[in-house]
Formats: sequence, C-alpha cells, structure tokens
Amino acid sequence: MALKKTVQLQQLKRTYPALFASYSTLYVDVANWAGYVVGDGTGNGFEAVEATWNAPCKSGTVNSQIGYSSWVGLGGAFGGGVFDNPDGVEPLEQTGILLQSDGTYRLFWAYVSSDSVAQNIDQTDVIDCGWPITAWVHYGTVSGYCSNGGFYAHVQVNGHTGAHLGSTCLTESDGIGHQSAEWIDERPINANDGCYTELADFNTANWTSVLAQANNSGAGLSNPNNHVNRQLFMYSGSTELADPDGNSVSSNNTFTDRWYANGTYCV
Amino acid sequence: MDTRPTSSLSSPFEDWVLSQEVYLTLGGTMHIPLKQRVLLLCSLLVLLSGCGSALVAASSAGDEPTSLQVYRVNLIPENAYPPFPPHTITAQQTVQRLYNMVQALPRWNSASGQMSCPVWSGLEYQLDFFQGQTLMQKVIYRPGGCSSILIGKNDVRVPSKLFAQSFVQAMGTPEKELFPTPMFSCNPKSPCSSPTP
Repeated sequence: MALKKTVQLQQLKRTYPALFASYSTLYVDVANWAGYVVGDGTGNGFEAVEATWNAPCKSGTVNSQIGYSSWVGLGGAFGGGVFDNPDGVEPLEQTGILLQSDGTYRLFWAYVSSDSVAQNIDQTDVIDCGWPITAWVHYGTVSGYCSNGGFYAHVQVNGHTGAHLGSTCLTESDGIGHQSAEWIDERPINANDGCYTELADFNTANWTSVLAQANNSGAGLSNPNNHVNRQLFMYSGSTELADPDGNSVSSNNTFTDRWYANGTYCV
Repeated sequence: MDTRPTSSLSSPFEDWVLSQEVYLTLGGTMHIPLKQRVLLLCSLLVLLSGCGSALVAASSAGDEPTSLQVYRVNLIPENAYPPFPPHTITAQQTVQRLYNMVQALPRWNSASGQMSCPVWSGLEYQLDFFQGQTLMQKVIYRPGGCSSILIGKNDVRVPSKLFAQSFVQAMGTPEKELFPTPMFSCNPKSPCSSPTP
C-alpha cells in the first residue's frame, strides 16, 4: 500500500512539477514596487493571481506628489531592464486600491502597455483604511468571466456589498502580459508630469491568500514559493522605501510589506 | 562647463510672452492664457504674410545635430551592473533620425491624479545631442516603468516602440546590454560589504 502511494506521488510530481517545486527567493532592488513577483520570463506564464489584504492606514501627508497603491497583477515585470527580457516592458493588467489625500482609497483596475494606458478608478465607493480587500486577475476560463477567453480583473471590499469593480475583457491579441504574477505595494506616478511620487507612509500592508496559478493544464492556485520568485525592495536613490518582512512568502500564503521612507519626488 | 544653450529656440518676445501668467477673459466664463492668444495671433500673421515657410525652412536647416553622446545612469546605486562606457554616435543620418523622432513623440497625457506603472529598475539613458561642439539638447530616456522621455525639465514625451528599436539600432549594442539585469542587488536581505574606511 505504501509503495503504491509513493508511486502515485512520483507520478503526480512528474505531471505537475510546479505543485511540488520550491524555489529560493531572489532579492532585487527596484524603483517603484515592493512585494513579490513570480515567473522567469519564459514558458506559458500565469493565468491567475489573487490575494486578500487590508487597506493600510496611512500616516503623514498624501498629495499629488506623495502616493501609494497596492494591487495584484499579471505582466509588467519582464522587460525594461529589471528581469532578463530585452523585448520591452510586458503589458500589465492590475487591480487593487489607490490611496487618496484624505486617507481613504478608491478601487481601480488598469491596463498599462508601453504605449497606452487604460485606467478605471471607481469614484463612487469610498474605501476606508482597514477594510478587507480581495482582488484577482484571472484568465476567463478560470473564473467563468470573459467567455471568449479574455483576462478579467476584479477587486472587491469583503463585507461591503456593492463595493466592487470589474475590468473589461482583454485578450492576448490586446498584448496582455502574463509572464509574471505579482503582489505589489507601489509608489505610482503623478500623471500630470510623469514623475514617480514619494511613497506615502502606509505603515504595513498585510497580505494573505497570496496565490498564483501557472498557465499550464492542470495547474492549480499555489504558493509563490512553488514558482521562481523575487522579493522586491523599493528604493529611491540609495534610500530604501519599503520591503517585505521575512525572507519569503510564508507557507500559509502570507507576507507583510513595511514602509521605511518617503524617498524623493521624481527620483 | 555646461555648454547647453540657456534659452529656448523661441525669440525674446516669445520668451517674454511665455513668462507671463496673465489671463484674459472671454465671454465671462472661458479663460485663455495671454501667451496662447498672442502666439496664436503671431502664427496667423506669419502665415498671412507668407513668411511661414521661410521660418520653418530656416529653423530646420540650422537645428540638425551632428553627433550624439549616450550615458547610462543608474539611479539605484545598490544595483550593480556591468560597466557601460559612454557611447558617441557620429553617423549624422542616424543622429538626426533619432533627434527628429524625439521631437515628434507625443507629449505625456496631462491627466490629473496618479497611476500605476510596470516595474522600473532605476536605469535611464542620457542622450546629449550636439551640433558641432555645442550641446543642442539633453534628453533623458527611461525605458522601464511607464516609459518616458524627458526633454529639458518639463517636457515629458511618450516613447514609441519604433523609437526604442531605433535607439537600440543606433547604439549598435545587444539589447541585453542596454536593458540588463542587475548582477546583484544590495539590500537588507542580501547585504554587500561596505568599503573599508
């Protein structure tokens, strides 16, 4: 009986290697993101990313030059001189929350390619700090949305019926990127002048249910450590602005991002 | 010594107009800056007088760069990259093509608010266009994140894929060297030894 189980386990490992693999976390400094990215820029990429987190309560000032957003997304990591893909920045589809100057948030989704931006910010629902957010970007066949096979981004406030936002369907013919999946705390740009903002003091962002699904037949949602994964440190010049606590995403699919400094506007 | 021209290519009168923050009122509700109205009027007069084509011709004939110097700037010193010596491009046709592409790029959309971007490594390229020994224009090209090109201090453009390809071609350097992965990153989880005093 034990031998039979061992053989079955070996067969499963051969069929679904990503479910059983565990990778060492790489540590990379970037200018605008803190959090985790999975993927190696090759192969079929990912068809789903999701997470739940509480909208962080900010300290200090927020204005057009001091900002913060947190979100889950597919694409947007390979290219542009960070991870080894010189073919340009892969488009990014993302959804999450965007901090307002009064400390509240708005739900948003966006599709950002190298030459176009489509962003939808839900101005009707005011999201208070501390509220639980769930967000995901799925390929249509995973979630039942986008029956034509497109990607769909969705964000909602748990326990607050009506506070949710869904994207239009995007297909690969739109250039949608999916070589990476990510969970990110970000300093956005000021759309007026294209400058990266200072990072608002978000204190901590506590991420749970941090899961990604490889774009392979039979793959399920799994912990980021089952994929090539990078922990991202946000820097402005030599100043560290934010990074995740711990050395990797925990085995129960959680991590905490911590704010350290505002940094410098436009650098 | 900084050899950059200190003023724009506009005339002293245009510079004065551009420096004014006086607004005129039209119909009590619509405000149009004085500078826009004056420039509009000037443009109309130039066209009506038949001088427009002559001005354009004079401008384009005198403003072509002859060489380009390219520097890579790493804004996050904690990331280590292979060395990248400054590149000088002297093929005039190539230089002028890049220069003209930069001038023709669309301006950054001046929407209000904030927006997210793809990840950015903190690498950028400084493109110095020279006419002879004189620096004509300094351009900053940020290929990562929300790609942008900064002309001077406030003029932000959106680079096209064609520009990116032309830049790579003009540099004559493999793309992987132009958009490299850091050899290593120094941070609290992977500290690098500090230099001995």
